[in-house]
Amino acid sequence: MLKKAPNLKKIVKSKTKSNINVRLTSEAMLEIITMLFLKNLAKEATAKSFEEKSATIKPRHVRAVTKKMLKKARG
Amino acid sequence: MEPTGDLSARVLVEQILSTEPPMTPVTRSVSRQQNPSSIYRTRLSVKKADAQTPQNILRRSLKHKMRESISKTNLPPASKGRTVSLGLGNPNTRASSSMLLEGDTPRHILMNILQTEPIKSPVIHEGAAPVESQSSSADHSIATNSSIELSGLDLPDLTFGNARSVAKRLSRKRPRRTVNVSTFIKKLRKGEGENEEDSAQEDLSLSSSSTTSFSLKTPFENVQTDKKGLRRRVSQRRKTTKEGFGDAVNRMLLDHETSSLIQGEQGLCESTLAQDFSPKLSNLKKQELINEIIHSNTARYDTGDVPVGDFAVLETQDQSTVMASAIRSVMSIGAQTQPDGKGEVMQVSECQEEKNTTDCEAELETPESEEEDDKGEREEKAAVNPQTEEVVVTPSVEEDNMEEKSLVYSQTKADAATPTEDENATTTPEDEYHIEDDKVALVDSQTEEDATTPPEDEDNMEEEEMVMVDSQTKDDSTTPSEGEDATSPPEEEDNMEEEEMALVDSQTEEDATTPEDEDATTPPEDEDNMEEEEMAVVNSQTEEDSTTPSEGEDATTPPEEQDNMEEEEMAVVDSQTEEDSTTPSEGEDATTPPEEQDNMEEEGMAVVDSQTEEDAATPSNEDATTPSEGEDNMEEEEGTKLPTEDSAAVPSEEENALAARSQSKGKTDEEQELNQYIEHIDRQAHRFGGTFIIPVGEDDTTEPGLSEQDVAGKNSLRDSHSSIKVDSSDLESSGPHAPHPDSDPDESEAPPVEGAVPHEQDEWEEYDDEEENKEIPMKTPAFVREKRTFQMAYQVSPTAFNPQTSSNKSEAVPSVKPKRVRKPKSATVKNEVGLPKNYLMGVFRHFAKTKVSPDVYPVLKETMDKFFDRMAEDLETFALHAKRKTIEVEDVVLLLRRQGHVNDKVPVEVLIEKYLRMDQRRLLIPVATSGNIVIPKMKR
Repeated sequence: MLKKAPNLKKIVKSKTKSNINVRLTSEAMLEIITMLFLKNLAKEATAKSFEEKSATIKPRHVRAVTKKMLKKARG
Repeated sequence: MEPTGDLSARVLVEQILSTEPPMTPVTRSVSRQQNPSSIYRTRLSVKKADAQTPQNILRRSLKHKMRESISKTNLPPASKGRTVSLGLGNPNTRASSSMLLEGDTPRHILMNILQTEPIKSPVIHEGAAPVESQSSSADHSIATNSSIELSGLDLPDLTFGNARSVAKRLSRKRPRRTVNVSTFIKKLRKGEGENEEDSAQEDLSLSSSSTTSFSLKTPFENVQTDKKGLRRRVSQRRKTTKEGFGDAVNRMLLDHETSSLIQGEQGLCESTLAQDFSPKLSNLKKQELINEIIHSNTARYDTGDVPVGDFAVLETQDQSTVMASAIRSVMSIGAQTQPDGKGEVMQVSECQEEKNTTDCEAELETPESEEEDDKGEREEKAAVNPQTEEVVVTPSVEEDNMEEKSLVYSQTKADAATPTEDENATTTPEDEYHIEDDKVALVDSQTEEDATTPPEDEDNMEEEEMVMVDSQTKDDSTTPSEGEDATSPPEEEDNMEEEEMALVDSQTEEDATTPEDEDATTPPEDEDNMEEEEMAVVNSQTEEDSTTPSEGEDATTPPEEQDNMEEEEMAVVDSQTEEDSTTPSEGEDATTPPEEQDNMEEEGMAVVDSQTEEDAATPSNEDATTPSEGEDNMEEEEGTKLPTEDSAAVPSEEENALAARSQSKGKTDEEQELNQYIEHIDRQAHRFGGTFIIPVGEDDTTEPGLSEQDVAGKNSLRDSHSSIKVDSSDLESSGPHAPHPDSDPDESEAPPVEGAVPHEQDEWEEYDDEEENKEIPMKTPAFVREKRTFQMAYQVSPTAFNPQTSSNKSEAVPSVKPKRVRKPKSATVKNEVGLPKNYLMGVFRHFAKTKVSPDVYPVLKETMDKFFDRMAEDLETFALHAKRKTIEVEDVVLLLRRQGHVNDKVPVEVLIEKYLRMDQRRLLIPVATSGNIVIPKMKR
């Protein structure tokens, strides 16, 4: 996490329907959100992988978790 | 210079004397005068200057006092110097400072010095006070010594006689000093005797510790043992002292020896030890100290911030100012450290993923087809035939063609070659020709050439060939420049009897049509080669071809072809040729189509007719032909637009006819051919303008029709057509085209069957238009699609023509097409922005304690994609709700709040601190930056 998330602004702008801007400071906040989300995701995924007694996180773990996480991070 | 442990009053006095201007009565005024200017400097200088005499005097007095002190006081000699201090600690001395100007004891001297010195600074004052108190208390006992020491500490600050010693003292006893100072001050205020003891005791404890520790060590060592709390104050003090020290040190450095000497002299007394130490220390460690002082490294604790900047400035500064400077220094340092700490390199090392791809397949196909073409050529070449000559020509031509789309043709040719080895010699060349009919002209020429030679071969070929020759000859006549190609293809057609024939026919037809004139000949020729069905096809093709390019000529050839074509294919061909003829020369076509129609009665005759007519109607329908025949092959070539279409139509018919035979085989080929044809047709369409759209549609229809309409007679055409188109369209990813062509060919097929050639043509045209219309809407709305339509057109024809054309060709054709399309595609498809992989995986790994397999990445990316979608949507909603056009921080905060990350209990700042780098933090939180910055940076 040493580097800036490079494309956040572009991503958000590409996904918004209307032409909307993103303020620079809020871009930093966006990083927070993504960090938080990723962190939760990772946490859940690790938990799931532990359930299966595997040391590494496999895609299936992640997939099983994402749905729940996405629902949670709806707001 | 002093023996750290022996900071007796005497020692201190000595030091003071050495550093300061002699405070003797004589120099009193001098000292006073000097003091205000710069305590340290003046003192030092003066002291140094007058050190000699007054110091001597002092020494004597000190000695004397020491003796007295020894006798008088009961101070336990903590050190040699103590006694002196004890001696000095006479209350008398305290009381009468003036009396003690000379000070028998060092203590007295000290006191006198201190007292005489005007209050230069609060620090000094304090120092003076403690000194006085110290001096007063020095009489008592060790405490006095300690106090003296402490006072000495103070004194050194003031005096800076020996920078090192002073520094040492300072460093050593700062913590203590602080206490002592306070205590001393208290003592002074309260009274001297009472608290002295306490202070003395305190001092004792401290001093003892300090003294003991300092005995033979550098003062700084003890400093480390000091408490942190004390250090703090010391640091403050140091600032002042340091600054002064700086100057003093510098001076001391200059007078290194002198000072040492002086110290040495001073050390004559019992304080020699101290003095000895001092000089030693001074000598040895002076520089160290000096350096440390200069570099403000004297702090043994983590001041970290206090820069020893302005020595001079600090001299006269008040504590407040000193503090301020200290703060500033701290800030500066902190500021420096901050950037260092957060000096992350914003490296956008992440490389966004490119999203190219897509049309690689087509490209791949082309090379393959090329290869196949080459193979075919080689094969053909291997086959020593009279036609090989032509074949050689054709291969060359083919090669040329192949580069673009010839692959398909080559494939088809190759395919054609393989199946019919006998005719390989001839057919292969023909196939090649067909395949490489990208440059229809070439092919045509070849066919023409071939026609000459092939005629010979055809003779050999007998059956089909005979017919072929006819067609070829016709083609030759028809195809002017590319007659060679035309000949060759026709020859090839002859050679390719069965399946190949069919294909060839289509090809030849297509070929003939593509170069228009030439193609007409070739396909017809090809058809001829294709004896049975192919023959018919060829005929039809030739007929068609002839019709298309040279309306009049075509009319002749097609009929001939038709004659040759008797069987199904024949009929089909005829129909096609008829159609072809109809298209270019409606009138002529009318004749041919009817003929063709006549021939075409069996399965796909009607269809073929329709197709042919259609093909004829639309020059771009060559694609249809090509698909039918050499979809694979035809697609590439553009030139044979019409012929291709026709051929496509023919092949479609043929396909239908051959449905039983080679549908299974030809489907793939057909598809390929179709695709190729489509491409070809598309290209042709370019030439012919928008008319290709129709064939494209046809292709589409044909493609789907492949599967469906294989059986139905009427559908045969359609199928071939559609299949061709479908293939082509598929290749070209013009899926939407499929439905259109289906409808169109159906329509086209229906009417032509009835035999109204012009009607068919009209219908065809209509269909074409419809196809166009349909195709257009069906096709991708983007301009990319538009290009595709063209390509599709090309494809349709080739596919129609060469259902059996090698897949390579089909690939080649689409590969060529995709190249054109890819650029716009790539340009348009730029909306896929994703997080860089490295970054994403890195963060995920960081948060996930265990290993993360890289397979996770796609899933993760997808998830993040969705997440971003939601997030962006939410943010946008928030912002719009606030009637704003930019997403503000508060929007994001609101989102965080809604997500539960931020509560009333958990402010946002916490999260900010937690997750963000300094630069971002600075953005968000004005005072988030470290330190005690008075003026925080404002947001934004």
